[in-house]
Amino acid sequence: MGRAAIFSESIQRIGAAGLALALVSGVAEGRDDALRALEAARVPATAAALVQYAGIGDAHVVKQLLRAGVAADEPLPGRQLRALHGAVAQGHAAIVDQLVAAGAQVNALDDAGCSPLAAAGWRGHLDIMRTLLKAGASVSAGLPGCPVLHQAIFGNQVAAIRLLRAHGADPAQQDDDRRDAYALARILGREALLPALEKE
Amino acid sequence: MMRIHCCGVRVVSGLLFVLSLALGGSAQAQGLTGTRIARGECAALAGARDVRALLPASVFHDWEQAGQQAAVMMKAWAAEPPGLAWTRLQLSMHVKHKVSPTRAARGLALVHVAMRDAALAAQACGHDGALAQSMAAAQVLGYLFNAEERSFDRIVFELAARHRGHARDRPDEASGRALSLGYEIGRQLVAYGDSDGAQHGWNGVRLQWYGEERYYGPGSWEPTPPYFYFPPSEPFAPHWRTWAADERDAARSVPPRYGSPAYLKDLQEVIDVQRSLTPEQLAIAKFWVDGHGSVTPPGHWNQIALDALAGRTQLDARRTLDMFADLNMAMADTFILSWAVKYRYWSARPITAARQLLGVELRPAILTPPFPGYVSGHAATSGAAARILGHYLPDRAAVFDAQAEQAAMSRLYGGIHFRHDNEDGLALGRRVATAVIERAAPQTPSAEHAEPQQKGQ
Repeated sequence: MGRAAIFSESIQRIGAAGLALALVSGVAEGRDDALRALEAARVPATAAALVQYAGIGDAHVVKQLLRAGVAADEPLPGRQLRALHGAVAQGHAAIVDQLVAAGAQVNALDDAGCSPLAAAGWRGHLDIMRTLLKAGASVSAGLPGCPVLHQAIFGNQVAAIRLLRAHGADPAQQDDDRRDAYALARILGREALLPALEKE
Repeated sequence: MMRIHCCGVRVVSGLLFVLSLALGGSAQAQGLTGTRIARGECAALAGARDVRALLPASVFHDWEQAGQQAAVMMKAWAAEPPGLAWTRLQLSMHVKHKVSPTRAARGLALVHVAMRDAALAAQACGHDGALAQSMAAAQVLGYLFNAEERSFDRIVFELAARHRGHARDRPDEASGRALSLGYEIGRQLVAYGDSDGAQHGWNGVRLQWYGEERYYGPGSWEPTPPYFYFPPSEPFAPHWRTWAADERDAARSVPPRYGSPAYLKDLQEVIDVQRSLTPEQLAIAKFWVDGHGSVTPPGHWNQIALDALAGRTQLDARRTLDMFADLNMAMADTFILSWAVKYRYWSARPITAARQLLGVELRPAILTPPFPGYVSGHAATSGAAARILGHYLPDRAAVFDAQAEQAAMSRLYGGIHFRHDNEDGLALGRRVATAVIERAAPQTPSAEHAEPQQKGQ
């Protein structure tokens, strides 16, 4: 008997409701395990802890927090800062993967109005930028307060600028001080970045 | 509905009246009026302790040094309110124990509120105010500097002996009551301090902070050269209990956006000032540096207050108590709110931003402190202190304001703060000072009712 047949027979035997209950029990069991692990580590199952441990790069604690039911996208209380913002800025690629898989919004803005892609571009974390872009990050998120391309110029990240341009970032878009990407590069004395702003 | 509301109000009013009678009677029995933290009845406080049991008794205790310090204090008491000598002693402890500015501000507030409460209680209960204040101060100082191993208690017993003319280990009844009262009030302030949140994160040896609420995005703070000290100083201070100010007083502080024209203009100013620093600017930066092992910025302003009083012949004891209590509560609150702003925005220091944005290796004239920039704590403290001192000594208000402006500018001359850090810091401190004057100060007697300073008061 093949696996599919066994599975089908099992469903008929215990019924759909029973299977659902078993799945829920499994999830609950996983949550209980995670809560016990967090308690042992003296980590509260809160959004604040998720933001904290994502920022310092503790993938194991982040995994337990997500298993314990902490929402991947929940900001700090009273703030807009989320776990994904800290993880991308610090270059914690594995945690970025965890958070994106758990449903973190890739275009959520932090308290300064910056997107995760802007933070990654500022630091020049190219692999993380690709992960975010693949997950649907917008090169226009954060306009005009914190344009993604402008942050890459602040960070002097030429490869990040090229990547953003390749994904459609518009260097003519202005920030809220009416500076486009070309003007900003010149203001900062970074004429060397100008060729990267041109589309290849 | 209206009738119910009407009757409800009447019932509540009646209950409040009965309650006010009860509380009024209780307050009368307690005899404590105007105290900020201290509670209790005169008889209970003054009779709570057989003070001979509090006498430090150990062959390791250095009574000779305590006697010398008591002699210096007694000499000062002849010309000034008794609390000022304890203020000087506390400032010397800042130097000796290399206290951080935030901890210094907290400690100064606790000691000076303790002294005011003890003095008011002693006055209301008819006991010796100088001894009560001294014992209260000694208890709080012992809590703040426990490595001193009861040296403050030894000074108090030496003071009592000289002040009242009895043997050190045989205090008379009047000394005993005053010291018991001061001890009880000092312990109440210690309990108050022990629950203000400043213990959070300390394991007894070091701070345990693992990136709580840290921001890592564009323009965020990084450890700075040459020492790259980490973790940043007092990241939990935003959660400490304030005396009078609240979040509303910090809400208006918002830094310019990282990389904005205003930000770049202020960054360029720091670079330009450092490149063309004059000897006078360098002297100002160093005068106000108040760094590790100094009296600290709040200590510096206590010194300014002491200096301002030094030339005055008729010092009002009550007004002096109020001035130092308000000065130190305002500075403690200013530090808490400044740190709340610092750890809200996590703003980079000029040395970091100059390299990131303009490729300039800045060489600040003084050491960059290990915590985020916006707002300047020194500027904020100075704004608060100048406003409080100007309130109590209006004839010197313009001088204090000029000193505060100079203290704020000293951080630009030192290359460790942007102009906007300093200006917004000053404004924050002034708001906090206003809050303290309006919300914290107990009823100050009018000038005609204020008694001039007398020995022992």
